[in-house]
Amino acid sequence: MMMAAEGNTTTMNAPKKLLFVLRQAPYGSTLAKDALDAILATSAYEQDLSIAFIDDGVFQLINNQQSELIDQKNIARILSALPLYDITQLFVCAASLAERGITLGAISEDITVLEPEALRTLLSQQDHLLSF
Amino acid sequence: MIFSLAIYSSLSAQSQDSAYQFAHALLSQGHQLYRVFFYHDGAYQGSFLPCPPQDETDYTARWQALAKMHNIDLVICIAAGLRRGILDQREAQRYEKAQYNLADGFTLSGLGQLVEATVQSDRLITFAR
Repeated sequence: MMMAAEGNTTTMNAPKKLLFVLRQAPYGSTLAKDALDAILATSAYEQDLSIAFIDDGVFQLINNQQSELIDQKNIARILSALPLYDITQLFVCAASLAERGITLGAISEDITVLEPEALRTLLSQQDHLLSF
Repeated sequence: MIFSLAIYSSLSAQSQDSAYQFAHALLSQGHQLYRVFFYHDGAYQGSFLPCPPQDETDYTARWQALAKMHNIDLVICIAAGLRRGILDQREAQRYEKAQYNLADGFTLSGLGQLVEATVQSDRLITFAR
């Protein structure tokens, strides 16, 4: 089955549980931004979509990012727009936050903090993981 | 089992070779490869311009041969390709470039192709770095 162009919807079966696993710091490469592009594109396809921030991916959540100083789009600002795309299932790894000394006060996103065991459960419940 | 692959890595990364080896292995074991989606730096694999030394692997040619033999859908993310100068004739005209370089057997298309491949496959395997 082929689709004509980006943004088209297509006849797919029942929604699948798709978890985007974001492990990249926001500006070390464009992969963090590319992952968000993939997430926003996926939001058009009516799947059961959620996002988990793990490892260095937790740095994406920190507020007051001043990406304009390095001529980059602001990752935190893109994240704050996710509810507009009906993307509301956001999870973050508690251990990854603790390892990096990041407290929830530094995060403005409405996000669920998961201990490693709960995170493993979340991962095991998915049909597919999209890893970035 | 139906597989799709997502490849984000450039020609210099070991993982892009692993992706090919994995594709080759799954096909030789009778599984189906629904689509290979090249995203991020993976888009570089869609250019026919690289000229590796004769005693080194021509990665793009290798994908082309595998795709031809097994009728595999090789899709380059169009946004990733445009950023990196991977253009087909249509995009070259659209952006008023004198040249294009998309290798035969590859197509430029949108991220929807990654979503669709994921949903249609039993397994999506990502080769990131």
